Amino acid sequence: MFDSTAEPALRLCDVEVSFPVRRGFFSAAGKLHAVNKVSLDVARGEFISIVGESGCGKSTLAKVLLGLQPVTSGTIQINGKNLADYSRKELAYQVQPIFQDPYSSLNPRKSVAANIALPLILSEKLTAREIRKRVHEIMEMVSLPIRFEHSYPSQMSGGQRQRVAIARALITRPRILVCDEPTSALDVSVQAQILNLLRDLSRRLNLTSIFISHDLSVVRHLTRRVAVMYLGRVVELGDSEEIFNNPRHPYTQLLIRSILPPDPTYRLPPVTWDGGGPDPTNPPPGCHFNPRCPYATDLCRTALPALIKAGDAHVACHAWHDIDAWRAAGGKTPQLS
Amino acid sequence: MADMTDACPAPILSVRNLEVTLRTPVGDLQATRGVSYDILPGETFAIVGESGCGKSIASMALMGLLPRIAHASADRCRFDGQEILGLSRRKLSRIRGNTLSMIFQDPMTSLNPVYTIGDQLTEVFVRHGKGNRAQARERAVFLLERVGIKNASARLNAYPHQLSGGLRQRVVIAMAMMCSPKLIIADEPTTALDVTVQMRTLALLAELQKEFGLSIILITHDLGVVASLSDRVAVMYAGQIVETAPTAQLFADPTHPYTQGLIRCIPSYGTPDPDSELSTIPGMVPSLIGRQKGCAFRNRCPLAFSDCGQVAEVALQKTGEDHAYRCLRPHDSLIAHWRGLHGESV
Repeated sequence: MFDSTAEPALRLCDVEVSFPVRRGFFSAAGKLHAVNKVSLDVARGEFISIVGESGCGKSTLAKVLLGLQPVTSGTIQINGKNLADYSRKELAYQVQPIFQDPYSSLNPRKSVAANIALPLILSEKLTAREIRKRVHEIMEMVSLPIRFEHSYPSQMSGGQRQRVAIARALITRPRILVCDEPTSALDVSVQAQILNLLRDLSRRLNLTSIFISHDLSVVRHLTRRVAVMYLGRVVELGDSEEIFNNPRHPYTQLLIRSILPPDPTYRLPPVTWDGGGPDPTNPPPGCHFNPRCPYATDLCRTALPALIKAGDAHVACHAWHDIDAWRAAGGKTPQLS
Repeated sequence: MADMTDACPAPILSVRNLEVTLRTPVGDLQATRGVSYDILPGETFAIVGESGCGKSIASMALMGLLPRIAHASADRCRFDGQEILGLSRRKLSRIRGNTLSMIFQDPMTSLNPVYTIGDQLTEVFVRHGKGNRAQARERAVFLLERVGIKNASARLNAYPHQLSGGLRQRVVIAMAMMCSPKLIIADEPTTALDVTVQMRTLALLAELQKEFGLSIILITHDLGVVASLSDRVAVMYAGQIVETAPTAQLFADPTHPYTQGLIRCIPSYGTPDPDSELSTIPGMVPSLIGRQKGCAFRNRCPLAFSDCGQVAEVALQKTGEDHAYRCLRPHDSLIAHWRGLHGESV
């Protein structure tokens, strides 16, 4: 499907994004590390997911890839060239976004055809006839009937609008597609249509796709590789089969256990509370997950674990080996809080 | 659903033929048609469906929270022995937040940002004449602790923006519990929350329900939530209940083609496989403007035949004790279709 030995389509190296934050008027400015030392290679034609909960930095990462958010440190290479060396127009030919909410990401005062053609008009000298042809081609590709070309977004359903957004993203024939929660605003039956479309298109056009989501069941169905983020860091990275069948990081285990199966025999576990997630402006020392982790040791409370190879995946956890051995011996996962 | 009030304990809420019509510039929109159900004391009744199916507006009608352009009528809408549809605002406000309370999707918009959570929690209690401010505070602290908020008496002085989303939703739940309601309507209570918080919030609702003998109407689009929390479920499509059954039975023998399609669309249903297509329901929901004829699902239904568009109205058919579905096809052939989808021999 893709060649992993070739130069990656996308290479992130120690990418860091931080924002200054002030808690009160007189207090010193702190720093919020939205993305913290993230390194990741994405091969050409690969479909990779980034999952995590709100505040984990996944959307900031999307903005970085689109050139909408400068990095504090680290480098990003797209097709071997630094992101900073691309002009805005050049970048638009390489990377295109699909956002969560098609109600706000489309211009309500422009027709569907005008919305789709917008990236072309800005960056290419095409005649009106050529533009119209390209728009029709792309509408067909996303299964949007041509009769909608003069409609306005307000006249369309959520699923149709998201098809318009996908058409707009593809009209510059980009190499990389960044999808930030593309289906969380849609109904389940429509969500499935859009997910199938995204997967088919990435295969047909050999697109490199970054799929950002909080929904693990969607991710499992869609992609072969998954990166799990927690508080700005990648805590586990690997093949989705491996991650779902044998999650090593305690946070990944917690996420997977939080999927509610459509099974009426399933019983909710007893309630435990941990007082909420940690404060991102003041993360706990050591492993950021340690206050919520049932396996945490003194080491976890002092030293930050690096992302290291663990079995067939990569994991950032000091204790993964013990946890793995203990689970292999039949230990039941303790109730995580 | 057929009338079955004789056999069971008296329902806390009984709704018959609830119709909500929205007057829009392009014509009347039938948001719900002939919605009927009974909620028994202590049960969780889920209403599941996609956006625009009328699941929220049906409950808004009960609470008297409809927009001005909406008009609601029903043969019966009896809550706790009292007809509640068309009550004056004043009489309704004695019920709302008291014996009948509501939890909304977004905890940020259901809490007032300029009052402390203590003010907002105690207000309901004092307003409904349950006691003085000191008693209200005592009850608020008790409930905040019950929903797992540590250091509750200090937290009463916090403003909503100082709490995380999950914490805020627990405050909203505590607020709904202040006057010991008999029925809570929870409209997508966990949709705005993170997955790890969602599960705990649902578990909390389940615990509170057992402990206080509440009835809950759970409105959701998520069949995972339905499966984990509800006793009975109604599936709504285009303003009508198309299937209603005990939850276990709905998942075991989904009868209406829409229910079958909905279950198959869930990404976590069946064996996940990045190479296989997700099952979808083709097409989209029909417009509800003007009087509808025939089955509303026929254009998306794999089993539709000519009669589906001919009949004036598809009636609910009973199958089994507490299971009914709105389809012209016989039960056997629908179940055979479901099993056939899974390669099972019939």
